[in-house]
Amino acid sequence: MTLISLREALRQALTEEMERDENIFIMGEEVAQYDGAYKVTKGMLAQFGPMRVVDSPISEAGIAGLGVGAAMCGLRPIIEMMTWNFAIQAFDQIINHAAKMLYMTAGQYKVPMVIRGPHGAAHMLGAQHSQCVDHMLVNCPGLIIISTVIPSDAKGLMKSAIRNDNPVLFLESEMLYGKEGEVPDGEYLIPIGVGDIKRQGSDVTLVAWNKMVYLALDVAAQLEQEGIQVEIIDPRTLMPLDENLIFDSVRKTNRLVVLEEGWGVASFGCHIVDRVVKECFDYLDAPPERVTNHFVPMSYNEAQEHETLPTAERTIEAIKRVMYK
Amino acid sequence: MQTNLSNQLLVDFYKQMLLGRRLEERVGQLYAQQKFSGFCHLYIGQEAVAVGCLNAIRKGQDYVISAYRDHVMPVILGMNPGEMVAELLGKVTGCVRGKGGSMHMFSEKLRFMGGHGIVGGQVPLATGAGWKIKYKKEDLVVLCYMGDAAINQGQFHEALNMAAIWDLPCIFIIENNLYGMGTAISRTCKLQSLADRAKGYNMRQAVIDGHNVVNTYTQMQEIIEETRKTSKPILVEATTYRFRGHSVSDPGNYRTKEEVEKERLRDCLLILKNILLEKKALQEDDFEKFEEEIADQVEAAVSFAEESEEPPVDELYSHVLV
Amino acid sequence: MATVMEMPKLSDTMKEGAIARWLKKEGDKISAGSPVIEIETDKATMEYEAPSGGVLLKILVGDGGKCALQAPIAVIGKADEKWEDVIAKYNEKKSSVKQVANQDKVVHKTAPTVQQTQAQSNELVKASPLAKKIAADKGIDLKTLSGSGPNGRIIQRDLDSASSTATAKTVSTYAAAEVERIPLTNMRKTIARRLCESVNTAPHFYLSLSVNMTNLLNWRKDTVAKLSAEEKFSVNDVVIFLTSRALKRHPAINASWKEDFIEQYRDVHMSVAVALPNGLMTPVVRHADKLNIIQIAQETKRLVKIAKDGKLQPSDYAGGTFSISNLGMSGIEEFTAIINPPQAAILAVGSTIATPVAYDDGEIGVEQRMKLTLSCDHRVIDGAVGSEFLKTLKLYFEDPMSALFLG
Repeated sequence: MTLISLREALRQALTEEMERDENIFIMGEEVAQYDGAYKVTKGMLAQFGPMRVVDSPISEAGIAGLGVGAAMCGLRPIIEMMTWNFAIQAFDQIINHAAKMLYMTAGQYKVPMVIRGPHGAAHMLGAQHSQCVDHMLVNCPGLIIISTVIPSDAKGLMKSAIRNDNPVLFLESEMLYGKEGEVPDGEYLIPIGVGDIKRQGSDVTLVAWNKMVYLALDVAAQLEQEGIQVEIIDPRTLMPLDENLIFDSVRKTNRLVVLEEGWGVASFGCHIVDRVVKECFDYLDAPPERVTNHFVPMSYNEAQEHETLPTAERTIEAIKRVMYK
Repeated sequence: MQTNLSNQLLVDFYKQMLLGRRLEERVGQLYAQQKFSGFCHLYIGQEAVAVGCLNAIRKGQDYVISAYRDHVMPVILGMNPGEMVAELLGKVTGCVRGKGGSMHMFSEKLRFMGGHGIVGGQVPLATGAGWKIKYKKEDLVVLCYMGDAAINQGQFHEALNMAAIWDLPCIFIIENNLYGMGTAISRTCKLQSLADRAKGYNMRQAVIDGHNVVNTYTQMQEIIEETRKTSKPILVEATTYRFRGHSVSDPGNYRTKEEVEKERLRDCLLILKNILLEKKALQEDDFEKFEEEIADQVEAAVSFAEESEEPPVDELYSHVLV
Repeated sequence: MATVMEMPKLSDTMKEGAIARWLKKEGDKISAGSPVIEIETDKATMEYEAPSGGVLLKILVGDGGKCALQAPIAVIGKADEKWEDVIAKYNEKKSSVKQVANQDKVVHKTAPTVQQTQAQSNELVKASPLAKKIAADKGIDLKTLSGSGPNGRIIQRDLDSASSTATAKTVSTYAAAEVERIPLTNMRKTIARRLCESVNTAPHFYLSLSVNMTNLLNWRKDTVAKLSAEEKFSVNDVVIFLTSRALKRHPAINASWKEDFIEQYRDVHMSVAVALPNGLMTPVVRHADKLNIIQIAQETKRLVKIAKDGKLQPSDYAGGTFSISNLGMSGIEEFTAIINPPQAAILAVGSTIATPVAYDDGEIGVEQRMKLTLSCDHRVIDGAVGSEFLKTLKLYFEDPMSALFLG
């Protein structure tokens, strides 16, 4: 175990996998000579050369499509999106091509590709650079979606993502690339589709992923002083979702709060609540609550941005509501 | 018409084009008889482009990708016509087990990468295949077909730019049948020659005669050889014409009967037939025999498809993820 | 061989076709693949070719006619063939195919099952799913419980307290009482909402004492006798007058809880509960502390009249700072009232009754006594503060003169 940052954990995973399999290459805007917009790929050009660490034009649809085609022909591309906001340009390739290829070809063409990049709001970047797209993508069958910022999880899941034969979308966070955590050295794989209990608790189940996990941990620490024990479930993989981990927790606590960044309308949190209401109906003592962004584009103003995103206050209020406190 | 091509090769081309033509006519009938549904874009009139290009590549090694007017290409590459017709009928013996239909023919074995329904969406995929060839240092090429209207898509631009900067062995072929659905290409693109789009990428370009398969084949041989050697992409405009509407439901009111009749004089079958007669390679009787031969093949394909089983309904759940 | 030409499907969304026009007449020779007809689909008018060559024997659907897809529209055959025979054969073949198809359908069709759930009760018991499950497991009848959750929802903790006094066997059959449903008026709904809000948010406590009314009643009797009819005032008017003066001395009572602070009012606007046939209103005597008793009597009379006429305006009943509810005239000896939000207290006034009293010297006498009960919002008023106010009231009621000098 070593204390390293999220970006180092990701780089370890990328590097170890590229050393293992020469069919893997990474392509994206500024990934090579510039060392990556967020330095995730720092130093990799020197190690692997320009055919395997490739600076692309600013052509998100183009590089996503190139990735799909190369994957169909047997390579294992990793496409870096500078942020997932820009990946919206590539949604045709992700949704119409990557996600559908295996199905349309009745299994003849696999697309073993990873598309990765930072997701969600950073700090004061305004409306076009602060979005969550996970809820849009999770709605499309044929994709695996991983969303994590915990360094050890990121390493273990990135290695599994690269080895997976499906298109995998990997959502990181710009704000947390520098945040450190203990990460196992060398070979470390976390299976896709397995969630993690980030904190044990008996009173309320709080489901959170990506950077909301850290907010959830803060909230849980605050509420512990009031005698409320929060159990935090981090699904880590949104699709396929580790439903049973959530169900088991709700059956124990009888209460559910979903804490998610992004708009709450028809969001992934809605899906989780739907599944819990269906599968754990008789165990619920209160209607499940969700804490999300307010349903507005992101303002640049710092206070307005803070208010738009989920806050500890709103999360605590939601938890108290489900506890009738 | 002077040509060095052997009579045998020309006869072969004729039969391939005739098979494509009669298959598509029969497909049109099957649609009208409600034997299948959905969209149905027929290739009638454009056969020389498929036959001329696909006979110039290394079948099964070089990569081919296309849009949704895709019934004939896989057959020219070697797919059993029955598998193609069965796919239209949604049968389990179809090339993708009834999951694709008219617009999504694929064959991994023949390196036919589809069969794509989003205009221009297949073009970046071709650069991916080109990237793989370069990455693996292979001496292969990619043939990427698209309709004329695809050149106005953003993804076309992104893909051609990437192919140019990275020297990918991609041959982008615009099948210019003059209409993007019902809109004349002259109304949506200011270029006189669509191949001029290549100038913006400092890319090689060529215009080939897609009516005369002898020309198509000969010109493509050179282009493919050059691409294989230099690993540099090229944008090719193949002039052609579709005699039917954009899809079966299109009456083609946007063009005059005179225009269609004039184009029929340039029918690729007619042109090659005249060449063969001129060369005295064949006689009129031979063509009648071909018709019978092909009719048998077409009927065999249709029977195979009609007699095939539907895929199990449960199979709808398979192939979502590996 | 003769062919029956059918209406072709010419678009993905076509459901029926119309014959725009036939390009050939009956008896015309036609060749396979040549256009014979123009068909109007849902999208366009299209030429369509003959499926086979021969003579157009019969047109079944003429120009302008419409028919379903695959319906016969013409018969093509040899000149000597009879179209009726061709059609007869065609129909025979079609019907046999149809029969097979129908049989298939019957086999696959499953009888519709109607789930009949017995309606057990029209009453909806609001309970969380978990509470329902626990109640079912323990055999507790949820109807016997009241819920502490939002909207009276029965939740887990309500079951926890109930299970100790488990009413396991109380679920017995009984004849349900006959009911009549009284639709809610807006006034009823407002009363329900405001008083629930008061009870659920303001922690109430109650202080009672009784006052000797003998002096006051005598003074009033004497005074009223000397006044004109328009100037006469009731005991209730005296209660309003004295209470208003007492509130001036105890501003802590004339106040409201405002979450972040307590608001004390400089003015006394006295809400007076008035019973109406279908509810209750509390019109406000404004600046009651500054009015003399005759003015109070006249204002009260005016307000009661428009209240009974149903013509109170918001300006008549909004903005009270303290309330008095007097059920003395109904013979109620004492009672507790619910605070009228956002006020902090309400005074409940009982009837004046001749009461035996033991004096300090051991003598027993009879006094006219009246019970006063003050309901206080504990967030604003503590017991001692409330008691001081009641002590002042007692002083004023028992010695009205003191109000003149102290109030």
